[in-house]
Amino acid sequence: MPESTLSRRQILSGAASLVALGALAACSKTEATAASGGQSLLDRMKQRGYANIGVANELPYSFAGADGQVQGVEPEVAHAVLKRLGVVQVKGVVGTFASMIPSLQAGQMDMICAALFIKESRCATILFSEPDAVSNDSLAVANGNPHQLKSIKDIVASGVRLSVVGGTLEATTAETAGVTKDRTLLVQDNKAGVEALTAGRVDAYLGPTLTIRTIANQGGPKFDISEPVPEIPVTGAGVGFRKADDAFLKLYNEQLKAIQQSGEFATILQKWGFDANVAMNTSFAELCKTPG
Amino acid sequence: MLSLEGLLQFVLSGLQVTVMITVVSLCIALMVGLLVGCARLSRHLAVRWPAVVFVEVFRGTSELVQLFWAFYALPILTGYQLSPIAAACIVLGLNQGSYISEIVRSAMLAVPRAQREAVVALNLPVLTAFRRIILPQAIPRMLPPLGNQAIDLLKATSIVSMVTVADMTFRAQQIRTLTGQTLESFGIILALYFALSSIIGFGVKLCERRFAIGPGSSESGRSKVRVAA
Repeated sequence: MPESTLSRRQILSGAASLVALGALAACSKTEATAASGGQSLLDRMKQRGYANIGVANELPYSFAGADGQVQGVEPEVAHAVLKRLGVVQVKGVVGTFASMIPSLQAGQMDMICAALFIKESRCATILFSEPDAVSNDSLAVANGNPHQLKSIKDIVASGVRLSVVGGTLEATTAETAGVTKDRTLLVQDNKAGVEALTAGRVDAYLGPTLTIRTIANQGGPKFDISEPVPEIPVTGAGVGFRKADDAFLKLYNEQLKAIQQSGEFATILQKWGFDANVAMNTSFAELCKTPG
Repeated sequence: MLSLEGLLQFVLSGLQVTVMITVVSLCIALMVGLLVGCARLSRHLAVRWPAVVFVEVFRGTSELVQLFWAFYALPILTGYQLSPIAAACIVLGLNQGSYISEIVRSAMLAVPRAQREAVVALNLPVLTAFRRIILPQAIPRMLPPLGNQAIDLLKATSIVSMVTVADMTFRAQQIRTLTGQTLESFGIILALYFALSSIIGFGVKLCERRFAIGPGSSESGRSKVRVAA
C-alpha cells in the first residue's frame, strides 16, 4: 500500500515536470523574432528602431567603449550609412572573431561590423559590403627583434613560435605559409596575442598593423613592430551580411558610395588612422580573391 | 588607463548581470532538480525514463557546448532565437538542475522507509505527507551538496561571456582590450567571484541551521506536534 501512495505523488511530480519543461520550451517561442522572416532586413531594423551590429574588441577597427557605445572605424562607417537608410541607432553585440559568422547566421545580429577581412572562404559563406577599412598586417616582436623577423617566411625559416587570433585571415595565411600547428598559438583576441609575446610564450604575433600600434600605445611591456609583412599586401574589411539579405546589401553599398563622395567617410577613417583613398581604390571583388 | 574607481564601476555593471543570471538559473535549477529528482523515483516507466534521459543528456554533455547549441544552433534549427541572457539562464538552469535532481533523489531515498509506512498508517494526505514528513527530513541531507552546486553554478556563469552576455568576466575582458590593464581587471573579478561564493556559502550555513532536524531543533518539535495532531 505505501507503494501506491508514493507513486501517485511521483506521477504528479512527473506530470508537473513535463508541464514545466513545456513552459520553458514555450518561453523560447514568445521571446523569439524570426531569424530570416518574410520581412526585409531594413523593415525589421526600422520597426525595431535600431540595428544589432556585431563588433569585436579590436581597436581601432571595432570595439565597445567604457560607456557601452560601439566605436571604431567600421561601426562608425556603418552607422553613418544606416542613418541615411533610416535606421538611427545601432547596438553592439560583442563577441570574438571566430563567433561572428555563426552569430550572424543564427540571427543574433543583423550585420557584422567587426571589420572581418574580406577573403575567399568568407565570400563563399556571407556577403560583404565594399571595403571600408583597408590596411596591412605587421609582426609584433620582442624588443630589438632578436630573430630578425620581417615576414611570415622568416618565421617559417627560423622555426620560432607565432601567436595569431583564431579564425582570422592571419591564422589561415600563417598556416598555408607553412607555420606548423605546434608552433602556432591560437588566441581569443589581439591583446592576448601581444600578451603571449610579452610573456615570452611566443616569439612573434601577427596582426593588423594599426591594432598592434594601438596596443603598444596603451603602455605595458615594450615590444617592436615590424614593417608590413609582404605575404599579406593588403587587408580590407567590409560589413558582413547574410546571403538572404542581398537586397539590403545593394542599398548599403549605394549609401556607402554617397558618404564616400560627401567626405563623411574620409573624416571617420582619418579619425581612426586609416587612409580613405586606399579604401576607395580597393574593390570588394579583388579582395575576395585573397586566399584563406 | 582607468583608475581603480573607473575599473570597479565598469566591473560592477557586469556584477549585476552575474548575480542576476546566478539567481535566475538557480531558481530554474532547483525547480527542475526537485521535479526530475522525484520523477526518477517513480515506479512508472513513462515518468522515470524521460527523467533519466534528461539527466544523462544534460549531465553528460559539456555546459559550454549546450550554451553554444542554444545560442547558435537552435535558431538555425527552429527559426526562433533566444535572447543571449535567456539562453544562458535556461542552459545553466537545466544543466545544474540535472545535477541537483540526483542530490534530491539521493536525499529522498535516504529518508527511512519506515517514515513512509508511518505516513500511510496515519492516513495522511499524500501532499501533506510529502510537505510535512518526507521533505523536511530530506532537506537537511540536500543542503550541503546543494551549497556546493550553487557555488559551482556561480562560477559556471562566466561561460556566458562567450555568447555576448556582458557579465563580470566579459567586462574584465573588455577592459583588458580597451586599456591593457590585464592584472587589475582579472584581479578584481577574482576577488568578486570569491566574495560572491562566500555569500552563498554563508547563506547555505544559515539554511542548514534553519532546516536542521534533531534534538534541540525547534523544527523537529513542531513537526512532531503537527503529526500527532
